[in-house]
Amino acid sequence: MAYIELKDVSYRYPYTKEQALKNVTYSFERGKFYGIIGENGGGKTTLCNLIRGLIPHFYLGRLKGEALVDGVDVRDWDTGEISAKIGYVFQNPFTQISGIKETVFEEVAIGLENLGVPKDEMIERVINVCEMLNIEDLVKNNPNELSRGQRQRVAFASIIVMDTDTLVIDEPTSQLDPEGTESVFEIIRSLKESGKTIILVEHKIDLIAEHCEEILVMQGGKIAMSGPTKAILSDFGTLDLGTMIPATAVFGHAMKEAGKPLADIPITLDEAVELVERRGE
Amino acid sequence: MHVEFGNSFKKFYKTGNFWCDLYPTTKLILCFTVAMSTIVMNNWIYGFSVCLFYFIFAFFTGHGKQFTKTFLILFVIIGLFLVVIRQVGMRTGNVTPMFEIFGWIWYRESFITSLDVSSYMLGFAGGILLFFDTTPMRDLMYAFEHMGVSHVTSFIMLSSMQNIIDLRKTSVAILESQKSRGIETDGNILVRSKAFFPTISPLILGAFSSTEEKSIAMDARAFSVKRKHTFLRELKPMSQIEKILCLLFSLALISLTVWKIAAALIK
Repeated sequence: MAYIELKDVSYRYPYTKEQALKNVTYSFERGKFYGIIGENGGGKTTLCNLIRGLIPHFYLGRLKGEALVDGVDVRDWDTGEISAKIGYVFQNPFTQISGIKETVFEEVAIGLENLGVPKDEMIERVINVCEMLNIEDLVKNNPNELSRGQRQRVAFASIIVMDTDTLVIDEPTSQLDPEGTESVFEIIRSLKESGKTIILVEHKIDLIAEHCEEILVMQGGKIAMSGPTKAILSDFGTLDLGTMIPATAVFGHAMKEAGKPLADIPITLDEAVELVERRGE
Repeated sequence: MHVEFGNSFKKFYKTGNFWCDLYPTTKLILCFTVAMSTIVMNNWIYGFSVCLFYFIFAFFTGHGKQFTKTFLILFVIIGLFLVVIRQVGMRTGNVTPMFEIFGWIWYRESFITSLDVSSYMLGFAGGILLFFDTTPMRDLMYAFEHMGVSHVTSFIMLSSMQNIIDLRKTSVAILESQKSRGIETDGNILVRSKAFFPTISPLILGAFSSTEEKSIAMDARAFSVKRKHTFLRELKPMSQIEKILCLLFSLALISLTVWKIAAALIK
C-alpha cells in the first residue's frame, strides 16, 4: 500500500513564474528504498520539501493536486507532527547543528526532548544511536567544533534517534570528502537493513545503484523516468535526461557494441565481476 | 564511556560549587536585589563595599578571573569617566576645594557626588555581571522555560549567541578568500575598511540562507510539535532554603527602599 502518494501535483515557489514541480504522480511504498536522481534544478529538492511537508507550510507558493502522507494531505498535517513521521537530513552539515547544545549527546537528544520522550528512554535511545553510527567517542564533544563529516553523522543521529517511519535524505554527501561519504553510506546501509522507507537524493550514481530499489529521474520538474534501479540505470536513454549511469553499465554497453555482450548489463561492480567471470567460463 | 556519560544526565546537573548550583532564578533574585540596593543606598562607601564583595565572591565561585577582566573595563569606563564628568558638570554646591590639576580645581562636594553615582552604577552593573558570569545562558533559559516562556524564545536567545560566533568565523573566511584573490586586507584603517565593506553583503546573504536551513533542521527535530517537552539536562529545582533566601533579600530591598523614601520625605 502506498505510504506517500502524489496525485497530479504541481508547485510553484513564491515570486516565481516557472513551476518547480509539474503534474507529478507517484506512489512511495512503505519499507522501500527510493533514489531520486536528475539534473540540477530538476525538482529533486522540491519533491523532498513536499514529502517532508515543508511545502506548503514553510515554503508558501502555489500547490495543486494531492500529496498524501499516510493517507492525510500535507496541507492538513501539523508541521510538528509530520516531523515525527518523516525525518529529513540535507546537504549542509553546518546548518544542521542547532548551536544551542554543548555536547553531541545533548544535540542528538533535541528531537526527543521536543517530542516529550521520558528522560530514561531518551538516554537509552541516544546511547543506541551513538553506537549504531559510531559516534560514541564524540558524545562529550562540542557539536560546533566538529568536522563536516562528523557533523553530518551527528545530523543523521539526531534524526534517526526520532525513529521516524520514513527518512528523506537530500544529497547528504555533496559537501563531504570520500571518507565522509563512505561513513554516511555506512549509515544508509544500516538504515536500509532496519526496514525504513528511505528517499535519497544523490548524484553519486554508483552508490545509488548499490543501494536503491526504485529510481525516479527528475527533469524540468517532472518525473521523466521511474522504475526498478536495474531497469533505469542499465538504460542508455537515462543519459539523455541529464544524469549519469554507472561506469559498469557503460562497460556492459561497450562490450555489447564490441560484439562481446555480457549476459546482462551490470550496474554494480560486484555484478560486473560476476558477469565477466561467467562469460570467461 | 558514552554510556556512563549518558547516564550522568539521569541526575540533576551540578558543578559542585554552592553558588553555581543554585537555581538560576535564585541567583537572579539575589544578584538583582543586591545590585538594586546600591542604587537605593546611593552611598559610595556602601556601593564600593558591595563591588569589593563581588570581587571576592566571584573568586569564591571560580569565576574571579573572568569577572575581574570585565569589571575592570567597566570600572574604567563607568567609574573614572563619571568622576571626571561630574567634576566638569557640577557647577553649584562646590565650596570645599580639595586639590588643583593644571588650574582645574577639584571640589570635595562634586567628588563625593561623583563617587556616589559611579558606585551605584558599578554596583548595579557588577551584580548583573556576576549573575551572567556565574549562570550559563542555557541554565537561565531552562528556568525561564519552566516558568512558561516559550521554547522558541529560549532557542532564539541561545542560538543568537552561537550565530555571533558563526558570523565572526564566516567573516574571517570571506576576508581570507579575498586575500587569496590578491585583495589587500592588511594595513592601515583605510585599507582594512576597503577590504571589509565588500564582505558585508555575502555575510548577510549567507546569514539569511543559513537561518532558513537552520529553521528547516530544527523543524526536522520536531521543534514545532505541540507536545509537552522533556529535558535531558535538568537542574535541581529551587529548594525551600533558596525560596526563603529570595524572600528575605526581596523584603530587605523593599524595606530599604521604604526607609530611604521615608527619610527623604522627613527631610
